[in-house]
Amino acid sequence: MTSARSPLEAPVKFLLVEDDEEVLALEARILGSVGTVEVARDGAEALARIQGGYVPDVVVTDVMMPVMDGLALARQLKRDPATSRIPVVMLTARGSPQDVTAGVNAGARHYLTKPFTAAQLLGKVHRALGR
Amino acid sequence: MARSIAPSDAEASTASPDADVDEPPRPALPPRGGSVARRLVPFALAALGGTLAFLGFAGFDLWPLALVAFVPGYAAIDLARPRGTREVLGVGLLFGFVTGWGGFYWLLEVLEVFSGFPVWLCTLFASLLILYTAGSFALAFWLYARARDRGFGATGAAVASSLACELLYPLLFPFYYGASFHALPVALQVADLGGPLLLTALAIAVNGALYELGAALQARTRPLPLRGPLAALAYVAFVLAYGAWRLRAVDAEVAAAPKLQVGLVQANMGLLEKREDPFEGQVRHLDQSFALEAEAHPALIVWPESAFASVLPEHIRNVRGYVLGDLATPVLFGGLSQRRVDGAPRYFNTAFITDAGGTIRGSYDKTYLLAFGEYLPFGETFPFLYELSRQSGRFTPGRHVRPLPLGAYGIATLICYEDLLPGFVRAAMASDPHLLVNITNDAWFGDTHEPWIHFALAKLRAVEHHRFLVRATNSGVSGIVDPAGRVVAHTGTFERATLHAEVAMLRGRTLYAIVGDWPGWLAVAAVLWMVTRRRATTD
Repeated sequence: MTSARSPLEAPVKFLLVEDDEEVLALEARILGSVGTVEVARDGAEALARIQGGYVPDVVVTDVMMPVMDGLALARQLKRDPATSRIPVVMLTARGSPQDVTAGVNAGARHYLTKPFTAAQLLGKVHRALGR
Repeated sequence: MARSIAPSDAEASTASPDADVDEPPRPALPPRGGSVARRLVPFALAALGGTLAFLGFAGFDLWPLALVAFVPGYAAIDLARPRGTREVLGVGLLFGFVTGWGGFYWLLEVLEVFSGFPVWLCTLFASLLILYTAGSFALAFWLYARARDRGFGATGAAVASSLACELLYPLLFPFYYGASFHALPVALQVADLGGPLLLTALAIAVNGALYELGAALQARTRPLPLRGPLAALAYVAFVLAYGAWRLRAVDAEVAAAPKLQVGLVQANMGLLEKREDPFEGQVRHLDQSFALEAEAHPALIVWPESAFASVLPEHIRNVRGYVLGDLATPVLFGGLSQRRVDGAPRYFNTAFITDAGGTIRGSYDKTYLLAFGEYLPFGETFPFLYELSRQSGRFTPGRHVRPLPLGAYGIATLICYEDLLPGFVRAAMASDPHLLVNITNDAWFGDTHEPWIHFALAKLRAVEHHRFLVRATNSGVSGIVDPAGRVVAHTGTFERATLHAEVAMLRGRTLYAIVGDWPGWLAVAAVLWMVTRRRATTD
């Protein structure tokens, strides 16, 4: 799932989890340039989408969201053997060492603080895909 | 050596009036004049010798060349001697300059990448630095020439002058030529008696002896000057016999000692990446440490220099939430710290050690800061210098070398190139800690020979003190070295990697740890005697 793909392979499937519509639109546009994007407004909705059969190549999630935050989502994905290998990229305005540590503890292995550039986001995604 | 430039039979057979010194081969060239081609011969020999010298040194690792590299150099000096001090120094500088460029070619890339200056200017800066380094060779050759002028044999003059210069000539990137043998454990063991200078003595004694015999044979000198060559042969035999014995003894010591599983993390953060995305490094170190913890259950995990790229506030004593997360293993990690010293905030390049719960149990601040990278010389006296050079760090040196505690064990911790400073490591080992750890970031030097040279030179510290050396670097070469200088495991360069191995926790002080650089001081005394003695012959 995390192996590198050639340009001829199927496009990358993203699950983008973000509660801010403006940021969501921006992120979806960036990720849409390299793959297909499904969106969810919080962690619970993302989890439901995955449990419903949508298996993304990468989950890109905000941290602070209503209902279920990004840390809880990452923990849930890590706990389930069926989803534990899906790479999680965390996007957050909370850029302190403690936040990073909490994200890694939860299972995220890629961390990007807002504001970020399209190149930075795509760089994280590529790395998450093992490219 | 071409016959036309060899010492003449008649001159070479001139007996020294001083019975206790060997007869120096008498150069055939006149003091001044001669064809341009003949004038260039010493310089050509120096360039050849310099080339062989860097090829024989760590990095290129063609170590047998280290046994012959200086032979052309001594031939060149003996040809240059009649032409005076300036020519001797010129030949010596050329030898060192060629050796320096071959060994330190990576300086150019470092300067280009980080200064942003044009290539020609970087080449000029690098050449000046290498010229300064070449000064140590020039000085050694000049002392050699003075000793030869006073009738001393090539072998003794070569060893005394080289060791004296290696001991006393300050270098920005310190090295000992004896490190050429870093991959020959049987040769390395004498370092526990007298440090790296005894290895340099091995290389230079063989070179000197070969030259002395070769020159005498070519000049048909009778009787052959055998005292120096026989002394060199005896020394080689001693080095090998001692090494064979020590290797068995070290293995027995290691077998009997308590052991710990130690893991290390190489996260391979690019320098610019480290600045632009400091949290990426934190994520990688944690990610790799979790994997290491699950795989090897180590008693200690070591992260490299400044692995934690944010400043750790002084008041934080438990870093579980701040740095280490859910890791349940003691971690020795490099970071940055800030403390107030004399009322002013100061920054330190620091190594921290935690217990399994994340509580900091000790710290060590880097003592030997890298000039221009971590501080500006005279910058505290003239603070405006920091305004002129905004790329330079402004760290404060540490004030103690206390070992870091890991339960009942002590760890002598060295940051970056402190592992290249035998004298400093002796100070760090004075309280007899159980383990040597070095944390480094050599990403500055690119994917060149430098990281391999640094690793090779660091191995000698393990031998000098009979300790395991655990070396965690950002981008390689990380490794674990046993007390005999044998590499237990190592990483490559510019790759993410983890390593783990069992290391013995040893005690005891070696002769070198207690006495220090006695071979160097003996050489200083010898060379002073040699160069100040009345001339045995007149040129």
